[in-house]
Amino acid sequence: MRKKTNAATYYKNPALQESIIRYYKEKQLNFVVKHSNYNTQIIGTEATLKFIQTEHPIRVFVAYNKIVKDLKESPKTVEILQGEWSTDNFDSRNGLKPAFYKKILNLDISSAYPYCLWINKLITQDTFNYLMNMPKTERLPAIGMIAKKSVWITYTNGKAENWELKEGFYTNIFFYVIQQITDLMAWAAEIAGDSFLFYWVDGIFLKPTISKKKLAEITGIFAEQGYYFKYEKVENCNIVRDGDKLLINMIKNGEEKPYQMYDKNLARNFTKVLQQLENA
Amino acid sequence: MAKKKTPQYQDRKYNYPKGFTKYGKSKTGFMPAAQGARTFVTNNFDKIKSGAIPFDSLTQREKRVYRGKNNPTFENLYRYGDKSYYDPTRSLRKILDNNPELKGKRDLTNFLKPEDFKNLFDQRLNPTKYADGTNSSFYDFKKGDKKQFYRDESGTLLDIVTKLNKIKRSGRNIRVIDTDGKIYTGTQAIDTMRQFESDQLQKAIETAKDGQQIQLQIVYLSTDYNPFTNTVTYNLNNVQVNNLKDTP
Repeated sequence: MRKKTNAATYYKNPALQESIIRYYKEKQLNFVVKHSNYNTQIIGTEATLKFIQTEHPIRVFVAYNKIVKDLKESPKTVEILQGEWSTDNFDSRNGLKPAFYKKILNLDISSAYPYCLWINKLITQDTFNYLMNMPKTERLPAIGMIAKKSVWITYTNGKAENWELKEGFYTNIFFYVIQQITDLMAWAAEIAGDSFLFYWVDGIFLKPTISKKKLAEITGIFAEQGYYFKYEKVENCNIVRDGDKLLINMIKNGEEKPYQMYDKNLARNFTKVLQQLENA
Repeated sequence: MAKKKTPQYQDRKYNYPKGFTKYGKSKTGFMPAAQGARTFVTNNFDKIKSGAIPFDSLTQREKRVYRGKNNPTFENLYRYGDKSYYDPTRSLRKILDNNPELKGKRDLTNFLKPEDFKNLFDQRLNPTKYADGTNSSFYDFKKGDKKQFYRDESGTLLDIVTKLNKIKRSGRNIRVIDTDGKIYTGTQAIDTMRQFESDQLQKAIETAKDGQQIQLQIVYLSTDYNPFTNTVTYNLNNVQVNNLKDTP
């Protein structure tokens, strides 16, 4: 059992973190540095120094614990944990041309991740309600914590001797949720056809010229799958290409919002052409 | 006896609807005939090709558009950025048409990375392997002898300038974009091309030893044919010069 040490918490400060590590190395101490998305910890024999990026209220951790408790009990968890799920959560229309749109249509799935967990019977109604009563800024980290990942670097006598990557046991559940939403977006994109511009996580962006029939089909599928959705006001959408990157700027609900993504279609198209050339 | 009337072709002008508004409502009025014919042929190209829409049922203008689109030169001509590329192997068309998302596409600007497109055209399709009298010249003679062009197996002289003179006489317009970006037409275009080839050949002659065989292939990778103006453009900024004697 690790000896209990003095603990101090600070806001993230890379310069301070580095100087402490350098000092520990010069003094040839034994210590461990733990890096994760949310914090960096320097665990020494006498003290543990924690550098946090954002301070989450206690209810975020309560929500996370409730999710984990439900996942342990859900009959679907084992099956999902054994699967392989993609974390690619964006895509664009094949051959998307750089253009400026005065107005575009944005369909966003409301609270996509909590709904996905609930629809797939991975969390209980009680946990779902708890999540839905939290503000969005807290809900996302609570769910994201199930995919926690950290790198542990062990220093012995001031020298880095070993490193280890530790992943949360339920990481794959989070990836499953991502893929479920992405599949839904891809489905909507296929229906939209030429009116599809791009999708990003749980929102799809369409040309305003999309037919009412197609739009009804897309919203019908969202509803059929058990998701709620909302239309967002998007103006001045500017799509620019920079090599294989797409740089997209828009005004969404009055706020400027930039997106940057790789155009995956370029590599896909080339692979297809090469395969056919080899078979020819 | 009454003079036999030449059959009059009814233009499809009044059958080309303008399309739809962004709200899905039909636009009133009609498309201009030229635009309508292009739209009609583009939308129904496969049907016309398969015979589902008989060629004879097309209007004069549509027939002209279809002939242009069905022309092998046109069919195998691709655009990337602001340049045109001709695929002499004609294999890329089949490959693209096998993929529903790329079927019929000729402007590949937003579909492939620039380096992948270059790789595909210059290496994979290897146009120089299929170089012919319509896109290349091939000088083949010993240093000190009179310069000569190579004749391929079918007896065709691989000399694009001679070929262009013939093409010009047949009524096609010639345009050449010089290395400094200047555009020349007609006789001046052909002279510019000949001068360009002479310069390349001079370089090869200077580096060769007396009596050494000179085999210089000049392939014009970027050609652009506009069926509407019947003009072929050669861009001297995208030329592959192969000194085959230097190639291992």
